[in-house]
Amino acid sequence: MVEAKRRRHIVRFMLVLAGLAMVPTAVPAQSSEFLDRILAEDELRLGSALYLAITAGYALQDQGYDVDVVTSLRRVQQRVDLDSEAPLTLGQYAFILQEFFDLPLGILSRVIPGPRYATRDLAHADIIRGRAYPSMPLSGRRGLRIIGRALAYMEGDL
Amino acid sequence: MRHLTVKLLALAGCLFITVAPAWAQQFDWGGTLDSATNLRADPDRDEAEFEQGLRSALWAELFAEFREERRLRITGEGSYRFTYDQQGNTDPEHVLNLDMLRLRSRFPLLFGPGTAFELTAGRFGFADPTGYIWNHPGDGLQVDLRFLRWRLRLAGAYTGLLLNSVSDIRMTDTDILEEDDTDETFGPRRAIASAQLEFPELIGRQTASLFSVLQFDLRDAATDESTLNTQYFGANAEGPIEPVRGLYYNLFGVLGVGTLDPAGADEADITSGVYGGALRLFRREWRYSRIAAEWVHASGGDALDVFVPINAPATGFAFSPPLQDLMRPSLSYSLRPFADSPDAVAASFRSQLAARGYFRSTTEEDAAFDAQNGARYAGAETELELVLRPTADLGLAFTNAVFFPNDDLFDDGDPWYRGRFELSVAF
Repeated sequence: MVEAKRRRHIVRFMLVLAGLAMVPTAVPAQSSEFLDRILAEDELRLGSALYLAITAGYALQDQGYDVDVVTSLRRVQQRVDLDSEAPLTLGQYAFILQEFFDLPLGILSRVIPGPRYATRDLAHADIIRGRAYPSMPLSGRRGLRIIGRALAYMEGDL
Repeated sequence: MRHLTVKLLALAGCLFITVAPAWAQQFDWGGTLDSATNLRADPDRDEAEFEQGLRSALWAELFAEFREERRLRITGEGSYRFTYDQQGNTDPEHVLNLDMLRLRSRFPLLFGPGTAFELTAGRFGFADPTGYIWNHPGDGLQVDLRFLRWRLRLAGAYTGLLLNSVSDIRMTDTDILEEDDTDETFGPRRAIASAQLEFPELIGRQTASLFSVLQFDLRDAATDESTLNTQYFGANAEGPIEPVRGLYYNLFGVLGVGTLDPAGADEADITSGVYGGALRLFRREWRYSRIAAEWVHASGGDALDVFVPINAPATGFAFSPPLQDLMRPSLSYSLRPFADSPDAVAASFRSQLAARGYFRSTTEEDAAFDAQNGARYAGAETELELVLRPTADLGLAFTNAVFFPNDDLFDDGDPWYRGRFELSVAF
């Protein structure tokens, strides 16, 4: 049942990407190819994480959600070293998702925004499951599962 | 001997701080600030009194993963606790404590597919499957062997290095006398060993377990101190009741035997027992409703002797008699009424209503209830708990309970009241 739910989240995300291909944006039609590449990553890259966040952000924007991709990207830039080939930590990924989407924010995340408290906030909301050390690397597969649950959270399904 | 052990523990702590970061792949730390304000009104107090408790804790965790998913995790937590109560106008109590220093290692597939071996060592919480015999921190070792069809847990702990003010082990009159003795730095010394054999999903999804807890009082029986050695043998069964989705049951029974050597009196053998069960229904679609009906009966005053657990579990909120000569049925219902709300703060709100009845087996003089004589029915308690957890780092809880005593048993028939407001912040 858990596996089925995970699969549902991944399928949901792929549908978001598929929906994205229907709208005239700069995001590529080769999204499924990119998705395969992300799934194969032992350590999620910053570039991949941003790709996931930006494409999902634009897709949500088209569905009427209040997502400002450009402003979010600027805020991330202030806090995360933008080396697209560098492996990303779980905390950085959580922070990117928190900046892009309307996800839960703790008091300390508002006062001292950053990867440390973003990890705790998303773990508390059950978006991050399992071990949750802010400095740990994560695989592309785990990254997809997390963004799937983040989208489910926004839709009230988590 | 005890000072040497303390020094060795301190040395181990220093070594841990200096050596551990070298191998650790992950490190995390944090802290909590907890405040609890109690208001109580009961026959022990002439008028309603406040009690204020503050606890600040710091924790750190080191984690490493090796080949074949072998994992090692070291967790430490220390706290400072401040308590002030109006009763007797005593000075505030300050306690600095090492709550946890635990090393936990996990070796999956060590004995083949579907197996795992876990070793936990240091200071951490120990418990039996029922939670009614012991549920208390200690310094020791725990080994878990997991196979597909059975699991074995062996544990050994020593409680003599826990601070007296944080130890809840009060089994004999000597233990109780020492509870407020500031000259006693450490709590009662006990060596405790336990074994638990569990058969997961033995029939369908039903899980059964057999367990035993052996408790040795390390006081010198030749002195004027009372000693009590006890052994507990129990069985536990739990699982879902299949035709009804979300309905679970739990049944347990424990036989306790032991030898009491009271100061200035003859040694006596004890045979006691505790048994009970619970039915719990959980329905997520009913706004996360949880309905629970529980029942526990601890011997005393009837065919069996008084049951003495290693540490006293809470049996209520305003009224919490020891788990001795007690039959306590209880019913509770909790839900998140605004679970569907788009507002995360409202959605995190949970409320619980509970009712408990207290009965005893005897109508004679009874130390456990502090009652001279009277009826078997002691009274009933109702409790309302409101919890708000709006964010990962903030929690609020308000608990209110009223106990309605039976006039035939208690001289003063006025209701007892206890209210508690808790605020918890994590960083």
